[in-house]
Amino acid sequence: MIKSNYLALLILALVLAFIPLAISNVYYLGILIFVGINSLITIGLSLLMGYAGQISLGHAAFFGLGAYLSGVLSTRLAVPPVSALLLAALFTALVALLIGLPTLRLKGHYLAMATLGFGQIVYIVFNAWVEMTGGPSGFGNIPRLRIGGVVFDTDLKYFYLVWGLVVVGLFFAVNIIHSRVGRALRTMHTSEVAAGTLGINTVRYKIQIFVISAVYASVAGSLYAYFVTFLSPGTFGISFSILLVTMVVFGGRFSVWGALLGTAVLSILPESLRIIKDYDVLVYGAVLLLVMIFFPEGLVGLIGRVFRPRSLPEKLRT
Amino acid sequence: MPLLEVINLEKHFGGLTAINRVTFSIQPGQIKAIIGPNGAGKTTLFNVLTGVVPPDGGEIRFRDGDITGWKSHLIASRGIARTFQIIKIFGDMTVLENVMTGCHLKSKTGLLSAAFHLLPVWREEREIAEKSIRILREVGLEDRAQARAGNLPLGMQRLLEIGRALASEPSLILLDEPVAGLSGPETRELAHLIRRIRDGGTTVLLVDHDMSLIMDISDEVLVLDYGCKIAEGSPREIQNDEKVIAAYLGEEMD
Ligand SMILES: Nc1ncnc2c1ncn2[C@@H]1O[C@H](COP(=O)(O)OP(=O)(O)OP(=O)(O)O)[C@@H](O)[C@H]1O
Ligand SMILES: [Mg+2]
Repeated sequence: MIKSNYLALLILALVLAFIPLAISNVYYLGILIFVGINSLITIGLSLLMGYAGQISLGHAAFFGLGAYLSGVLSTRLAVPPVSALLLAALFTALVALLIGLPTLRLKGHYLAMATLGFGQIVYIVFNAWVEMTGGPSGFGNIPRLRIGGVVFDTDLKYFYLVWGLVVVGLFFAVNIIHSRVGRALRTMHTSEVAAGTLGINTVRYKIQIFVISAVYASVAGSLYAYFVTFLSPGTFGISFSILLVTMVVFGGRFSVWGALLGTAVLSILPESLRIIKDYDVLVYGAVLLLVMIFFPEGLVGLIGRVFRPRSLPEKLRT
Repeated sequence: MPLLEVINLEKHFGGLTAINRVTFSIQPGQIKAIIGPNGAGKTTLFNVLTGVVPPDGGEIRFRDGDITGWKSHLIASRGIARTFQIIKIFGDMTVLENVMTGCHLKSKTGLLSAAFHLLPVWREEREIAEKSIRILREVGLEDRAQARAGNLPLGMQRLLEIGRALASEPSLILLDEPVAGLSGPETRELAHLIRRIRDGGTTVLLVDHDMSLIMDISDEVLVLDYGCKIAEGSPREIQNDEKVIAAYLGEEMD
């Protein structure tokens, strides 16, 4: 199974390598960069939702922490971007650990509530700590990302950087899923009691996955900051957290490929259907509802059903 | 020295006393059976022993250490594995993956090394897979390795649960009604398997209602009724015990 995932990754990498050659319009390249940044967040989030069975309503805040910490460190303290990105990821991991430790010990959806509150707090801090963040009007002049001698100052370079990291992020996720840890996490769909009697410390793995998923979001945030070079709080509110959850559910939360698909569709569609913009929260809510009712395994599950029609009655039987 | 010692164990659910000051022990290398009418507290006893529910009183000692009130994953790591009366296999995994999951305690890949999937991880995965295949062969499910576990018939699911429990290489295995729902030949097959498990060095504690099986394979039998231990002894002693016969009044005892 892991081999077919590697094959898919290889194909994806090849396709991605040629996409810029087929796209002449810089505007579309820009959109694809945002799709890549969002995908990095949703890959991590789908690990949490599909494999640890938990929901985070605060991933926009982890994304924001990555973005603001990188931006502030690089702009105000002249920390080199790569170091700032790593420091931001480390800090975000610690914050996630502090949220996860008390809440993931409890049964039920306490993590969703805690991350919801956390998201609100972070949003308020971004707005209120004016000296640091520029408050509601934000702050700019964030330097370009530089790795060694290479400055990522064009959309083309940034496209390859972001999607290169998405491929790496997918590689890590696929490896985790098809490992001892992945199997331990998958037991939670069916029986945590059985898992416990096999020596699996489910709480510990839930916390670890939550921390990892926050790190994915933080790295995406740093990439975002060095791409747009301007940050304001509006990007990191609750509606973006909900959009991220919607992307994962829409694409199929039991597969990291679903996260990628859901993110691509829900990032590109609104761009082409401008009218949705004003009603986005409404539309995402409706999408979330319809998917949960009619195809809870998301787009990927739907595609699987079309190609393997016999798996449907099997599902119904059990 | 006993492998497991249970002293004055108690478990209450509200006003109901499911286990009432039960004391017994298991010697290493034994096959010990627990019998008793429906609702006697047998499954509850297993749940307390494996940390699925905490005890309300008494003491549990295993391999000479106190494990009273421990979390289930810690008890498992000390060497107690179990199966469930109401089957709890991982239905959406393959049969092989179920057993590989059972190898959790005997492997060590963590999250970060898993993410990079370096050579030692790859090697450990292969070792686990090979070991799991051997276990599947042992329980007779080798040719079903790639089937979705949830699609197996009941009898095979029971065998799979035993295989999954064996994968943790326990020193004590608890089997909760392993032959419930099995046919005659399947039951005989399972009796052989249970003896092989014991001969392989794993002590067995089992609950069942199949008296001929119990009388056939167990070294010692403990009888529970309304949460109390009412008798303990060799199968022959138990068969002739008046309290036991009274407890089973109305039920068939062959
Ligand atoms: N979680 C629980 N909450 C409340 N009552 C419980 C719980 N678990 C078991 N009981 C009660 O405890 C008593 C013992 O149940 P238990 O399942 O241990 O019996 P058993 O001996 O395994 O019976 P059977 O032979 O039918 O499997 C029953 O009266 C049952 O209803
Ligand atoms: Mg029972």
